[in-house]
Amino acid sequence: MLEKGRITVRQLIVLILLTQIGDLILVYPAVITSYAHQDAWISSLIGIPFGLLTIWIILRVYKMQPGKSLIEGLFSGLGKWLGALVSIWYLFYFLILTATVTREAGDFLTTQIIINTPLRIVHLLFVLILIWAVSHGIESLARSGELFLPLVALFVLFLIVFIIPQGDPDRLRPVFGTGLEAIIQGATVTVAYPFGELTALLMLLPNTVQQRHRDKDILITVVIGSLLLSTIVLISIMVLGPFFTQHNIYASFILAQRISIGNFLERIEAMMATVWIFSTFFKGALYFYCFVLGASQFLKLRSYKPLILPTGMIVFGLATIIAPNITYYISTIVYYWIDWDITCSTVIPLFLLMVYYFRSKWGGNRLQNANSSSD
Amino acid sequence: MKRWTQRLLLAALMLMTLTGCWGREEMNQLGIIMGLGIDREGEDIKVSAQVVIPAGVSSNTGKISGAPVTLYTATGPTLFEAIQKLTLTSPRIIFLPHIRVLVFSENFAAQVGMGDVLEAMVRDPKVRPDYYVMIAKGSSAESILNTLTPLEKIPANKLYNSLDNSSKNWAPTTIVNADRLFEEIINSGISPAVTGVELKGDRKAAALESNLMSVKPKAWLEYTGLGVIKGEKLIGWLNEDESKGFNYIRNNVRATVGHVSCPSKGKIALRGVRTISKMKGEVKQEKPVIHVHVESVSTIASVECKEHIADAGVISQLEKEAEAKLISLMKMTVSNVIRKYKVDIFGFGQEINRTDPKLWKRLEPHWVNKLSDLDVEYSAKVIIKRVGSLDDSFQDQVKE
Repeated sequence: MLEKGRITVRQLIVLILLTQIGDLILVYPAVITSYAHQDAWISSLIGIPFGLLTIWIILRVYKMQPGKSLIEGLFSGLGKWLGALVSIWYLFYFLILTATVTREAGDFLTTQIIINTPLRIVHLLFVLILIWAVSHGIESLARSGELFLPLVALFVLFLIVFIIPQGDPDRLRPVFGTGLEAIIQGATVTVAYPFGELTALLMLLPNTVQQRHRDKDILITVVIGSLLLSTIVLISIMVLGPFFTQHNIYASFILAQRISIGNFLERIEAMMATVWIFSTFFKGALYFYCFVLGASQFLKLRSYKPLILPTGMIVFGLATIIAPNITYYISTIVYYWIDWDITCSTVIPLFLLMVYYFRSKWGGNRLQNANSSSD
Repeated sequence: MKRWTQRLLLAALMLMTLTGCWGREEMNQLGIIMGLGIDREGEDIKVSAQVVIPAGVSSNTGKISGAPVTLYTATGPTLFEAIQKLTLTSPRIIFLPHIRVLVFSENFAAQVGMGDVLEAMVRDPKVRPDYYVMIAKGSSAESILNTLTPLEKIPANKLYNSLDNSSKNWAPTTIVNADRLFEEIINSGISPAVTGVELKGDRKAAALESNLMSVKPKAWLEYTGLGVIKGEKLIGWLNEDESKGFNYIRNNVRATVGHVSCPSKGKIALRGVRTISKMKGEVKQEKPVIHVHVESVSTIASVECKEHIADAGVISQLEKEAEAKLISLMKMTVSNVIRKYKVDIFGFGQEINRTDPKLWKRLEPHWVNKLSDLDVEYSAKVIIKRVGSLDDSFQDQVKE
């Protein structure tokens, strides 16, 4: 086994929650509102059951190949060649996600807070911390997640509670005014981003301590995380209105700017930004880890440590070249990234389920052997 | 030996993370703008920046002669070019985030329109949208910002606080934020109305320190009625009553004082403590109807007539009268605005959209022409809860 660390279910769900909030707390309102306008909060809620289905499929896939990570499972399930092909697809996905998250943090900081600092300097610092975190293994990452989650949760609640007085429910009207089509389009955003990007689960589950309540806990956690995001969308529309929610790239940062309690509790957006960088960092670190671990399983290495530094360099470079400017990047994540997420989190896992199912029914007994070997 | 080089290298690397001040801006190198004025000069924008002089406002340096603020002006084709050009005259970098008021000249608002400037201000990531937007009535924006004010040393702060308090305590004024204004400019169902500010008195004396020396200032800044915006351009002004009616309809009134006349002779002043207005759209036989309902909790502030206000019947009569007055005020406002300016500053269109988006799709293209046929129903409820610390007035006991 490449990774010797073990995390508990509690640590796993902490990581899931941080990944779900991650960068999305910043960009999710803008993305979903650009489809469903003032009904975005409805979209966000409608998407939750479908998102749960996605997570359930991912968990099923793991059940078919227990004890094996995504990459190992692909090899044993699909065979050498096809397995390698799909593995490369996923590794590429993890790598680009890491770079995108890095870019997101960099873009956010250089747009709103440290305007004169070059993007690459921010990326460098971010990647250095990623390298540092991943080189200590999943156990340390999960433990620090436990440390930081209360802080993140506290500040998100802060934001929600302090901005509610400025909300105007009339801005939600006309309810269902944008039409069913737009609302469903918006719901695909919910399925793709907060849920779809949890494919990383398949890399973490083999190292999670086996506990009976694991699946139930995971499902409850993703519901909590997505409800939190829906609340942010709802409040953002009530306070900023659909127009500004859609056109402010970082709507929840603007929300934090608006906080003003009794003329003294105000201008606290920098603190909020710090917390969002924390959650974005955990998302980045998780995908970084998934890539490094997956790549070394793919290459049958004995340790993933040698890959960390080179991967960091690649991420640093990718983060810069992934998009020439923020407009390109925003239009990509709004319109095209959804398809990629859904392919990786729903389409391919469904295909895998089918293959595994038919193989266990008709095919050789290789899979059954794998089943009995662990779990 | 190798260990030591490693440690040294690590320490050197860690230094990199400690710099952290890439884009630092030192306080004593910044010229903090409190008020920004926008004027028109040919095709260009002329900005006037009211910049604080820190020594002039600090409390512990004793009395310093000279103005507490200074005014820099520059002209450029776009807002930020002009602002950047301020460095030609200002010794410090112009720092925008603490801006309190954005003043447009009447000329600029009427002919160029406010959209472009607002867009630039909202786009700037450093500026929070918590400043107030106003239009200088009958003067340039520069002359508004070029006026010294007593009580509040920084004139932009005076403008800000004065409007803040007035909007909370006096029905005809309201505050207008940049992002709300921007939203109303692009929304087809509503047109904005912007606070007007006027420079009164002896204009020549406005900028001189002597303006602070006299008990009654020679020149002063005063808020007047609201400016009516069509598209992004100013097309006219509301008078005080119309502004009041407008604010009642748009739920901008919090506390205020008004009066009703006594059945016999004289007036009774009512202090509105809490006021809430609601607008509701309804569709009756394919035709939109707007209901405007105002609810006000009031107390009696003064009684200048011989009515026995200790009598419950008199109180309910007063309530009825105040309600009727409110309704006629709102009716007058709506019919005047629609007749004179043909704009929907009340947001009736927005309300129809919120009630029945499909109907609104059909009405939207010719909305301003359909405004005069729009059915608006008004209702008001005034509740007089308290009468102050006297019951009956002593008016009927005044010696002949």
